Amino acid sequence: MSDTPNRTGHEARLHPLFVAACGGDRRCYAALLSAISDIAQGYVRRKLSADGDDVVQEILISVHKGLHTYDVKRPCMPWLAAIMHYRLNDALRRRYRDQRMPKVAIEDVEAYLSAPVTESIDLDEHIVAAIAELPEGQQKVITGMYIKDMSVADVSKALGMSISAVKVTAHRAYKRLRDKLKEGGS
Amino acid sequence: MSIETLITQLSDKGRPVRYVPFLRVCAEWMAVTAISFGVLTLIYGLRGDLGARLSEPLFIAELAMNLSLVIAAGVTATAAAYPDRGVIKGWRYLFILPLVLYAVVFAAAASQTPDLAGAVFHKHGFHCLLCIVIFAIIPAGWMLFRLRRLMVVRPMQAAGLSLIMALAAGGLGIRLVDAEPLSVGLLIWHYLPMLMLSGAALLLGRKIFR
Repeated sequence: MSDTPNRTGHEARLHPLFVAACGGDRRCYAALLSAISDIAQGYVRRKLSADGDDVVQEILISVHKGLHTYDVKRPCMPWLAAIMHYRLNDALRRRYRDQRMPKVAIEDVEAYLSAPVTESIDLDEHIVAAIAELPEGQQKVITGMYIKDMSVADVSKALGMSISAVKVTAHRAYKRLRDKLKEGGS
Repeated sequence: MSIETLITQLSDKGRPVRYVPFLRVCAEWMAVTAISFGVLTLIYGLRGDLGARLSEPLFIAELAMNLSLVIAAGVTATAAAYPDRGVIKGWRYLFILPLVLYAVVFAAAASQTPDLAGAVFHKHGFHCLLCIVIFAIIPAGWMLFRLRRLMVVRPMQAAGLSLIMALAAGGLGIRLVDAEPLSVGLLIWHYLPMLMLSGAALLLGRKIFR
């Protein structure tokens, strides 16, 4: 009689990957994490009815940290399902806690606030003039990051550029601004 | 960070992983508990009337139930750190039976106590509480340290049962070293505060095993 249980569905697909990953095969480990991420995304979306990438990431990290508690002789799906369930419950608990104490954006209550307690500082006109002389792409990046106070990721999305391209453009823009301001100062 | 980047980062850290057997972890904490127990019993010294008390069936039953509670709570707490075992109901409620039997033994002891009210309000010193805590602290600390390195999916269960295990070990210890004649007095003045501490551990579990 064979010791190997009859595995079907996810179990049949994931179990060999688990065995290889526990043996140190990095490609199989990447394939395993990718397959788990697909399963977890479906599970989290069904339960949260929202995008739950952060929960999926927590599940993947838990799988990585807890792999030494998985016995390859046993089915892998109950092990994985318990981790997914636990991490999802954690996320739901956080969500309900946040709902009890909703976060209010400062813009929503600005009208009720008294006069500003800090002075708004206008940008130095030399800097504004130097920015205006930059090429259009660099101007957009600098305006987004430092005048509109957007993150690199947000600027990259808004301009349709990759994150690394935004960083490179910003770096070039700083260099050019520095040179221009030095010229202006000397 | 995107999921793809995380997968790349995690898979780059991929290395052979050795399964930590469940039974080995159970054996480890039993060994740690037994060693600390042995050392502390040597330090405190066994109670003078132990020989005479060992002839009483209720006293023997109390010790046996206490020991089985130590083992069952410890095994259940360890199961909570193995995702596929922690969700099995058989594992989760393993400690209930010895706990119930323990309560039955206490009830039997209470029914045989002539002056129950006197026993309940029997005065005990702070040293009794300290004795239980000293017996409990090493198994509890070791258990929390060991389980944190596994994958706890039921943190409240793991924390609560670890403490119950350690306190039952403490209870066993005090019965062997302290010449308290009545189980009921011990229950009211020692175990009740300890159970309240277990309740606090339940609430702290999520923070400890995050």
